[in-house]
Amino acid sequence: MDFEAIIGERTAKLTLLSRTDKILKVSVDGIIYELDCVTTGNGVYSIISEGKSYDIDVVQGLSNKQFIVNSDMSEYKVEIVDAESRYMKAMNKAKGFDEGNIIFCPMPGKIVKILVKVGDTVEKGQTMVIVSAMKMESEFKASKEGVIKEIAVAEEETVSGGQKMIVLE
Amino acid sequence: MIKKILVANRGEIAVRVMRSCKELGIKTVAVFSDADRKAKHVRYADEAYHIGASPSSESYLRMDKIMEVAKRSGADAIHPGYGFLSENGDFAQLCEDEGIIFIGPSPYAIHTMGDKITARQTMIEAGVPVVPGTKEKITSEKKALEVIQNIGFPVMIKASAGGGGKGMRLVKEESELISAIRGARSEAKSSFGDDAVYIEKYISSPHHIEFQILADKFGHTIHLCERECSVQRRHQKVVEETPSPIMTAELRDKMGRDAVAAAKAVEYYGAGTIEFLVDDNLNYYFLEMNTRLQVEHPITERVVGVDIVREQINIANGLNLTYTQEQIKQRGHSIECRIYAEDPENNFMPSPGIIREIVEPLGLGVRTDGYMYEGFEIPIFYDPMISKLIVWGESRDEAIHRMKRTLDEYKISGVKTSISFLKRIMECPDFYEGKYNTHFIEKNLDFLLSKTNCDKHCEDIAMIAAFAEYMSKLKKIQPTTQFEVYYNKWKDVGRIKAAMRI
Repeated sequence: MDFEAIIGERTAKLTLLSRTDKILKVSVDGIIYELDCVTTGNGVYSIISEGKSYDIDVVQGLSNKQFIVNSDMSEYKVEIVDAESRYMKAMNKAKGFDEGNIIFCPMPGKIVKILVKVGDTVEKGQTMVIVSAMKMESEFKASKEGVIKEIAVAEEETVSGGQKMIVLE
Repeated sequence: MIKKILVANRGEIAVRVMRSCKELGIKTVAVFSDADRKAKHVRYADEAYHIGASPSSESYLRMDKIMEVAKRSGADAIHPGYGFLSENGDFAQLCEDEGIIFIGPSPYAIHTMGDKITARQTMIEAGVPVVPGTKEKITSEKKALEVIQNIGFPVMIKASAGGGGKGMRLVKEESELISAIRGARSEAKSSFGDDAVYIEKYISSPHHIEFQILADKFGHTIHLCERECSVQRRHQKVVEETPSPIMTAELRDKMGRDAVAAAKAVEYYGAGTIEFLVDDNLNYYFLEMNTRLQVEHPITERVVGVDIVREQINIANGLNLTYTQEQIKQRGHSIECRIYAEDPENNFMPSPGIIREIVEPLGLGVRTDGYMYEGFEIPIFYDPMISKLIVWGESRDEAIHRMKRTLDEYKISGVKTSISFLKRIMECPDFYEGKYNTHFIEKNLDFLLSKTNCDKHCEDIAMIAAFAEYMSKLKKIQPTTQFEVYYNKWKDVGRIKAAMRI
């Protein structure tokens, strides 16, 4: 089975070679790793690679194929691309659907103000929604010029992390 | 003697106050809002009462409801913590009127120090140096110009009722003055309902150094030395340490005496903090007094060995101070890092949510004051500070290395935190050499936001971990998968835990 993993600018090819109760054998861009990899099942991984011990914590990101990986060194966003997501991406592309057109709320909060309405033309950098969380107000701006296609939230509404707020066209 | 204390607060400080109460054999009463039903302070207290909806204006700021709970539970005292009602003179007065001990200063001291212009006047009379500027509120723009001719630009326009950077304007030249005064006034009016503003000389690269004081009701007043609080972002403290790297024994003595004089000028009793601005030539000026327990009080507790909350309770009980000034000695060095639920890489956007896993650091010289546990949802309604990490070392050097070690050990997943940012502060040469002032974060922002480089190997390991998690998730959905199923008890425990949470 072949997979891809996207980390920052890099896309790497992942191949699962074997998995036993202890040893995970994976090839990453052709380099074969044979790792002692155990987990508590709660996203906490202890990996030993050639005697080096890594304490790693994996949390799900915005979708179930996006992960936030915390290692001792730092934090990474990793997306795993499997057959299903490859298919979805191709479908979306065919439909002209672009994820960059959707404004998600990255954290739970409360919608303070919506400054646009459906049909409005917005410029790049224009503030569309203000969300308040923990006594702080954050402005969400248009990443590019476009027309408001959908507003999925209402003022005073409480939103959860990863919730869709606005769709641009 | 106080037998039962209602803690009119939430989060880490409520738990912190209750800890001292338990050691003193005093019963504790928690109050909570809708969002805090599962909060640690509720679980930790002997009694807990619901006081309203999640927004603090409908719960933790409701004097009437808190007083009602105090009566109902039979509490004989209220500890306000910090924030919320802690510096509300009317609440202190209400407690007095209702015959419940307010663990804090008198309403008079709160009111006097809460109004910046009155506080300045009181300090000038007490002989405590204040930042050069106006003694009264500005009545006309012409008069303002006269004052500025004496002290020179740049100046700060500040709201008398102000705080948190609101109603504050920096004026660099005459042409900006009138619009700045008008702007500060209208902001002060809308934020505090009081448009009185005054002018202060702008101290360009100040250190923010404060003195902890304790005073009993018999006029005994002592100070517990200084705290250096110059590492700030948007007027919010991020890291504090004591002793201050720029402090000398003579200066400490002098500032300490002025801090005590400042407290005595308002017949202060309880614990309080005198904040000073200190310039590069070690000239210092009274900035304001915080008439409550401070967030950063643990570093003082660690270095002088005094439980400040216990002293607050003793003072409220009408006892003498436990210590004389001569008994207060600093030993070693202490640093506190405030851990915020925010994303430093994304413009410090707040990050509330459910704590998935938490591992707090342990070992010699470590203290964490927090309120999180696995499965707890950090509410969106309150302050983003979720924990304080306090370390102690024999020397400043040891304390910095210990702080780095403990930040490495501190694992919080489920929400974003400022831990990586704090680690970079510890690694920053300006901090390490103790050469910093309130512009530290601004000046070093590029360094602080840069990541420790990770090579290709390190990326590979990260991808493999994500891949392993992806496979394990897949397995949960489809029990019979293409991958070899293996039996692991730890995983079963994890699955049961995950299922129970739903």
